[in-house]
Amino acid sequence: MTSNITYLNTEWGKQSVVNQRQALAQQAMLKSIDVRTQAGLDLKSPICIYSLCDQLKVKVRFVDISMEGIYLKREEPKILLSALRPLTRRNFTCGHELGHHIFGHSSTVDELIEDYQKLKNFDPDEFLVDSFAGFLLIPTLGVRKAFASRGWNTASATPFQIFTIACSFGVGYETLINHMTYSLKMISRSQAVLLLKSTPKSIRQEVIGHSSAEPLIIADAYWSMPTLDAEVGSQLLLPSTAEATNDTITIQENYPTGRLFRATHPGIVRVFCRDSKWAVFVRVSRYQFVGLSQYRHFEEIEDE
Amino acid sequence: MTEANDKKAIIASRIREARKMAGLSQTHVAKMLGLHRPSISEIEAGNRSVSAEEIAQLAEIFDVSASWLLGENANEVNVHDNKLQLAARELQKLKLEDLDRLLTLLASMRTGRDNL
Repeated sequence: MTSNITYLNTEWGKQSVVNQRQALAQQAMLKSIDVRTQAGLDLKSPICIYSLCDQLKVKVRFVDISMEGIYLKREEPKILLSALRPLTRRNFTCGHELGHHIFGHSSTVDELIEDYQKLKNFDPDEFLVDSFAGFLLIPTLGVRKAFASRGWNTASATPFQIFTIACSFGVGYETLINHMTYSLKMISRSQAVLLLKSTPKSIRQEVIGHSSAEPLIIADAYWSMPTLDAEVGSQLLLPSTAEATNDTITIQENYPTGRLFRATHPGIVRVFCRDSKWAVFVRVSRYQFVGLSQYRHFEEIEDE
Repeated sequence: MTEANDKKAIIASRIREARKMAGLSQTHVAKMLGLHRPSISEIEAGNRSVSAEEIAQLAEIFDVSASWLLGENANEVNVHDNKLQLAARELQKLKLEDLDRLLTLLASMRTGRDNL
């Protein structure tokens, strides 16, 4: 260990790690393009990671175990995700575990590690699959399109704008900032530092006017997925004329930025705007759903 | 209690456990199998026999191995079992209670070889 630290502290050692990171990121990006292309997905749109796993015959199961995720390399490969983590974190971890599968890694347990610890303890396989998950879920062209279609500029992006775009890709606020900074090089490090001073909690407070512990998902007029995944308790800020066709989600309040709904029951509901072509299927799962991913949006039917 | 009754009780409890781990209610399972909900309740109480075909269907629905549903494997996989395919250093990352839960789940899982 001592010799490794000594090596990393030399200029040559530091440069070598930088080069290795660049090579791994390049490999991850190319593989993410391959996977999207082979699955018939374009290189711009947000994806449902669970549908992709299904297509690739990798079973995904949510479990109430305190960790990030587990990849089980088997004849019938499996991914286990902690139901205790936030929805966006589960999506990213699923992409990460799928990366282990795609790159032929052995079975692995990914425990809860903060990003700064990952930076300290560099593991090439973990870096590779983290980068893969980033490029797969948040492709370069997709981010450019997301900003351009809204008339927003990456160089002057506000926390609200970044948060809105993170929601559209189903990833966390900090994840998008880090990906745009270190992988896509779309924003500078100093801009990232400024953006990271805001948190999802402070953005929520700014949007709805009061402090709230329940997660917020913003789906604006440019939302490009046919579906929007939430769990019971999630708050959804949808376009101001959005109407739901059943009570899976219920209206809470109208704001200048949109109409706020709350996900109240598990199930699927069509939400649409009469004055535009905007429509989406909101799929709500139980809070911290434990079970197979394909059943996560089943309506709750109580047994007697 | 006879050996046949013991076996029935094990099958019943494993079906119940697998259903819960899959995130399904008895009503969901009944709909998927084209049965009435009380039939699932009876199966899980050990009052109704389950056919080989139903075991195969349930294994598919729950994504578990049919042999585990039939009580042929231990309820928990042994940490030293090489079928586990998870290195001991990986398992050390989990808390003890989480490890127990994971080992039960791993014991139940389909491996691709042991299904009916």
